[in-house]
Amino acid sequence: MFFTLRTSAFNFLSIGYTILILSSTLALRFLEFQPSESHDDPVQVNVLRLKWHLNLDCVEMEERKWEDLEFDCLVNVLGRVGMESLLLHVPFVCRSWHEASRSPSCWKHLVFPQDIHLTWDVTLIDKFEDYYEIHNCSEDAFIKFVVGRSHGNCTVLSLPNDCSEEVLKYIADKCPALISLSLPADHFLSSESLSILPTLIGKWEHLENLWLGSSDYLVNIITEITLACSKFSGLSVSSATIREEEASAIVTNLPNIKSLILRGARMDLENLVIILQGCKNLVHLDVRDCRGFISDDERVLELASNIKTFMCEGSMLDDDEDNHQCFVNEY
Amino acid sequence: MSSSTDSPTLTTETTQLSPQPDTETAKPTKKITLKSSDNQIFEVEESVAMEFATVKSFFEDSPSTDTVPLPNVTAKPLSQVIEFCKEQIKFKANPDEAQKKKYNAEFVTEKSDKDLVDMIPVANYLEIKDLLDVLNQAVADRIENKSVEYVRSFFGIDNDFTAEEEAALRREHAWAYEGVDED
Repeated sequence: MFFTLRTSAFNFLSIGYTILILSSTLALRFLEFQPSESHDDPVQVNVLRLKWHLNLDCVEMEERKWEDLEFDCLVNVLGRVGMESLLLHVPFVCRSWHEASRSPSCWKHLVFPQDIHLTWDVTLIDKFEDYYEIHNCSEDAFIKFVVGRSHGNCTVLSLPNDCSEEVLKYIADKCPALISLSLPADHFLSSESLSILPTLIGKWEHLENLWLGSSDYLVNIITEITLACSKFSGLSVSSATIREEEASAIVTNLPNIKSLILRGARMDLENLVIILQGCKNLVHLDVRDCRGFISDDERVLELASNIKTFMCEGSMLDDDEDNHQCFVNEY
Repeated sequence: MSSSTDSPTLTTETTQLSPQPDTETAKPTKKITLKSSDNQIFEVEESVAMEFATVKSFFEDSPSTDTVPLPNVTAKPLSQVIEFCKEQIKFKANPDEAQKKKYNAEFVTEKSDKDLVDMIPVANYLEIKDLLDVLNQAVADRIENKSVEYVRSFFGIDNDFTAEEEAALRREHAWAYEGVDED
């Protein structure tokens, strides 16, 4: 009810402003015929009086309280408190906060914890079940519930580790406004559900940034991005394996990419060179801790010299093949 | 607060500034007088006042005004808001994103919870978007993952739910959740 009143007050204010702008225009036209602007100008004084009148009419003299802060402003704060607070705390603060927490605008940026279901620790889902007296809330159902709150307005989404195919399909259907998407992968499990990702990319035409937890299906994903996402500008792949196939796909399909994060990748020097020669608009390239080239390779440093942020510390030739093999054999 | 030269000029209404000449037109270095709801007078450079979209549109409509009453705004948050805007003007003249970020971070870090909470409605009313972004983020960071009781006391909000309503709220959520689950 507070908000209805307030909204009408604001409408009134904007109507007032329109009238004022119109009258001031008239006043200024009138003034053009005057030798100098004067405070005694009758039109101007009337405009002022009208202005004061409106101002005092629309604004309550009492100090504003947080409960009835303008809805949009409250929503702006609540959209920044993080998923746990938004789910578990904000709705119970008071009535107006409860109402505000239901606004899809609060749910535009959704960052799920990487692990939402662990048997050995209390996770967000456990707390959610506890707060809302729900039994056996599945990971998929929880993600769908939270994403559903955004009513298609979600622009930034960071999913938990290894989402199911079902969740990915749901996201593709329900989040057409996505700008940034993060799909981490648990490296101890296979990321089979990612195989569906290339077929879903087309649903996110506004996508600009993509973080992937593995380089599986990377070539197919990049190909789809080129077809669907005209504003795409940033790609991050953790634990990637960049062979010639992947490097060429990046260069061919994303020649204008601005940010590329391949930290910890297995990538030979020639494949890094392909990327450096092909992606001329890079402003951020992170190839730290890679295996396959050395961090002070002169050719690399020269080719990267025009990249604003270039990071390659900790990268080295993969001369530990034998040790690596021993390690694998041991396990 | 008002002792350093960087702080906004803060006087009481009775000791108000010298009368403005009647026939003078607006000059680039013009000072603008803002009056808070508790009748404190702030004299600020025009460029600073123009950072407040509300004041700016006010002056566009009524260029010959010299005092702007701000009936929603008390002196303390207003002085802090003015302090912030003065710095932003400097960054406009000499853009330095890193310095600006640092200043903005320090500006909110050194403020008490109450200062931040009191400034938000002011920044909102005066339509200072940059400040509102900084404040909203700072407040959100401070209440993130805090209990309902903590959040209420942080903002000075009274619980207007009855015990029954609160219980119903939890059940209502459960239904909403189960509705999605059936999909």
